[in-house]
Amino acid sequence: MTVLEYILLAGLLVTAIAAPLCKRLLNTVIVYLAFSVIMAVLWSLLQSPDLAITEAAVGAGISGILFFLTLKKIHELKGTKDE
Amino acid sequence: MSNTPENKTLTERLVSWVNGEREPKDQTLFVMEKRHRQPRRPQPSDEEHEEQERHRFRRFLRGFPVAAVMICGVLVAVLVWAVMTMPAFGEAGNPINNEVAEHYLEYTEEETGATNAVTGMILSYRGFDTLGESCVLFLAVSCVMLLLGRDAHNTDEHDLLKIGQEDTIEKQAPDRILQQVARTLIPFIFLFALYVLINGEVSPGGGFSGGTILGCGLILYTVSYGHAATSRWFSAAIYAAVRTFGLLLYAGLYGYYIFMGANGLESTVHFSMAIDLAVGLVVACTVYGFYTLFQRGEI
Amino acid sequence: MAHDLLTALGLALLIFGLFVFFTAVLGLYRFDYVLNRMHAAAVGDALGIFCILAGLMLLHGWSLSAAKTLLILVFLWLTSPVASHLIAEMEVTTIPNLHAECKEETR
Repeated sequence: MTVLEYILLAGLLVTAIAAPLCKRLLNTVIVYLAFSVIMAVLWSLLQSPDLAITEAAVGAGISGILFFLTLKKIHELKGTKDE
Repeated sequence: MSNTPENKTLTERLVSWVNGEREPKDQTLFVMEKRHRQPRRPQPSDEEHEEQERHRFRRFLRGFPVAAVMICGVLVAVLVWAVMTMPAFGEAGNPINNEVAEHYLEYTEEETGATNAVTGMILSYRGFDTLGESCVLFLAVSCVMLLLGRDAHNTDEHDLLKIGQEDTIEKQAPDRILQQVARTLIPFIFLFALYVLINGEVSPGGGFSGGTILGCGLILYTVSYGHAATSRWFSAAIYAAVRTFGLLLYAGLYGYYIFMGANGLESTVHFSMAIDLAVGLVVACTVYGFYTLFQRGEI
Repeated sequence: MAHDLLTALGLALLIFGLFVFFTAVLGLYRFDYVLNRMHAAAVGDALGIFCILAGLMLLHGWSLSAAKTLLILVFLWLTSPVASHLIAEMEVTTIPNLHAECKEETR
């Protein structure tokens, strides 16, 4: 275990705890995306690059888009309210 | 069944229920409820009712964090206990270090024709598992289609107006910067996706990662050039055909593989590569379908 | 001698890149308005990334990994300004009172 892995694991814990504690749903989604990015780096440090690719693409890309679209549907984003 | 108001047969009632003409409520109960002339409690007025509801909601919210913390604590305790009872990490006598793993590592290339042991394992030795995952993705898109798909019954003028507004904004003021960058990048994204798909048997990657990258490229194209540009060459019919073809290709190839005795087909066809392509098609269609269904409710 | 010089240059670039990222994060926290914060963050996106990746390439020497790093640099330089542009455009089009936040200039 190197120092970098300890830092990343600490970041993983912090983001995992911070995500449900955010007041706004948008902040929760962004913190969750940060969690996914840290997780992708950790996967590649654990020598499983295929998981890292998938985590980076799905966790940080697709699920972020889907969360944002859902927030837009329920009018949680700024500028998507009707009047 | 004698006291049903309309003496319909079971099939007719089922049809009317499916069409949404009536709720599947028990008729006898309904009749009994009607006989009570006087309600037992005085019916609250609207304001009182609202106040009661708000009070109940607030009480629920007060109990909610306690319950959440308790459930999380129990889950964490169970998981920690499970981890503590596991054998120590990296010891030679652990149950994972048996002959199965050695066999996989030693004979994967010989038996499946895939240099990458992970690909050989998930596509040949445990192909049914991956077939199930592909089916899950297929079914997920189908369910999202059922839930979010727009048709004549669940679309009102408001939705159509909003979508029309977005379309006109996209058509009249397209983002030139985004379009130029997307035109530069999208060929390389598709190339990289194909590289990951085809090289799944020799290098990290494979169906799931390559398919996701392919879907991301499609989403970027749709975002930058508008939905109409994509649906011109990737319509709903082609979409359904592609994702069904992917799943059927996988099922057919794997069925043939099992039928031939599961002894590897590397001499006749690049088995892992073909299955990787099939999985990639399914995954790319899933990702793109999620995006368009969430965004507009149609492919 | 040349090797030492390259190493020193790479280290200097790395440290400067870290400094740029530090200022970017500081600006992100200190500023209030979206466009100001984006201005701070975009410095890190463009200059900081360039300094750090160039420093890594100089430290590592010319190889296939350095070529891949160069490709990553090109990709980030293509995409991150576009992302910043889109966020800024969204902010300007959706904010109801832009005058109150900043001075407008029409050209």
